[in-house]
Amino acid sequence: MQLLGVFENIYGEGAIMDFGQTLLISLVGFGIVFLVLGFLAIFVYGMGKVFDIIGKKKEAKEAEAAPAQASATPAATGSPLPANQSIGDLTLINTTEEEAAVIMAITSSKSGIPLNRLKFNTIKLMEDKK
Amino acid sequence: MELISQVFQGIWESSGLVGIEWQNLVMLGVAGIFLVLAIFKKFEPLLLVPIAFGMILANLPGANMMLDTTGGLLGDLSGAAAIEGAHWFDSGVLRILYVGVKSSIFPCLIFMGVGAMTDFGPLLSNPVSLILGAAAQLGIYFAFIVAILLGFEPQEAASIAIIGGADGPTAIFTASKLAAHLLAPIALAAYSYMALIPIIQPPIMRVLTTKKEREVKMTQLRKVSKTEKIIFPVVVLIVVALILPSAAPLLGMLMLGNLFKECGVTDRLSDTAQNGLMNSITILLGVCVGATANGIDFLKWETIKIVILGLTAFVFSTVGGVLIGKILYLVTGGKINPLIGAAGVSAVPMAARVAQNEGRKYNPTNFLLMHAMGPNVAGVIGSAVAAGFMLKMFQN
Repeated sequence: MQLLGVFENIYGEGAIMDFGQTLLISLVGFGIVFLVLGFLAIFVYGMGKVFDIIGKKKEAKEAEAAPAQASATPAATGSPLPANQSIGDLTLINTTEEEAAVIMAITSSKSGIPLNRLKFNTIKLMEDKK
Repeated sequence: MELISQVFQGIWESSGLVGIEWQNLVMLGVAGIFLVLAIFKKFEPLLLVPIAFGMILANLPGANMMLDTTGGLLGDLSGAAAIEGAHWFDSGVLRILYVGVKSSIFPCLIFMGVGAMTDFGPLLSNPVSLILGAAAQLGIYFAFIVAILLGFEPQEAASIAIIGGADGPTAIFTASKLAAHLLAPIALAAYSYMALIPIIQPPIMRVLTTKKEREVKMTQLRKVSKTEKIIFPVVVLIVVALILPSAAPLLGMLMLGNLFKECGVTDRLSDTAQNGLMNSITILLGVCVGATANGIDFLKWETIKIVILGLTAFVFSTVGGVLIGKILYLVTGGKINPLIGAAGVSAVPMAARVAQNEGRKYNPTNFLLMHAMGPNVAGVIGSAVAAGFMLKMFQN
């Protein structure tokens, strides 16, 4: 900032600049562009490193959690379930099997979780059919 | 019979045919060439069509589209006196719209749209892009020296030099602050050269690089998180605006637009900034810039000098980017393709596309586009910083 203060507004309208002054202004200007963008490059590099470390820690945590979660599911204890079958027993209340299948397929599709990793306990119609 | 004759005489005398000068005809011809380039050659049509049409409107005598009844308050620098009894709204339609250029509202809003369309991901995944973006501002300072040597005043030289940043809104912003009387040739040169990047850059890239360098295949970029993309615009704005407050209007709008895009909760604003608003302002800015090219004021030796200086600035900016690219190629042991340095001139995404096309000519399996987008968007920040420096130096 002090450096800029030295040059600030010293070349007003109608001023005549000699080659030396022009060269100096150009070098300082080009240097400042490098300085500012160089600082940003260092910042971006540092930020990238920090986020890479955070990302790796997160991935490691997820990897640790995944086997534990898998062992808690019945599928992990025996052979894996088929892709179109959900985990556990499902109770249908005032709902047909077709309606339940549609609801389960939509839930799987919207959540992005395969059906064989989802567990449905109950599917219940909230209002009486008329 | 006499009455009919008088009516026809009145129509003839008030028609533009009487007042038209050869300079107007030349500019109508130039506008025609721009339209041909835009419509049939597809050279930046979104810009060149409104600019060319503005040129046509400004060179129709008697239409008074750029009439300033206020004696210069609306940006007319011809020295014409105010028309007694006339209001500002009696001025020509384009003159009133021109206030958006003169006040820098249009360039700033364009920058908001550019920000909303920019993905800083390639830059964030490869921070060295910022160095290439800085190097590609070489032409600005080279052209500044040459302009001073050619006898331009410092303010004029700084405005002309910014053409080397290959960034239309930045060139208009700087010129409107430092040398408003040169706005038309500077804006036209900046946009024309941006459109001609696929012709200007490749020969320079080929001369400065070896076949081996051009064939370099760059490794895949790291994945950038959403949080990084949100932090970046805020930090860049704060850092740059604290060092160079004069760059804040342009960078502020650029980063605001980018934050709209990246934060994920302002989709409607982002959509407006990059589509509706951007298109509306492009029309207004293009027509107004074109309308400043009135042949009588425009066709001067000074304009030709600006056109030549603009080309010089463009060439040296490309040279700067490629040379630093070559240095990085050596430093990294051949991991960086120097061609991406040429994309450091900001013309987004045209310059990156040129790097991609050149790279594929020598290695058909090469895909440099995303690598070149890093220096390309860094160049936008670089030219805004360079403009901020020039304003800091020379704005009264």
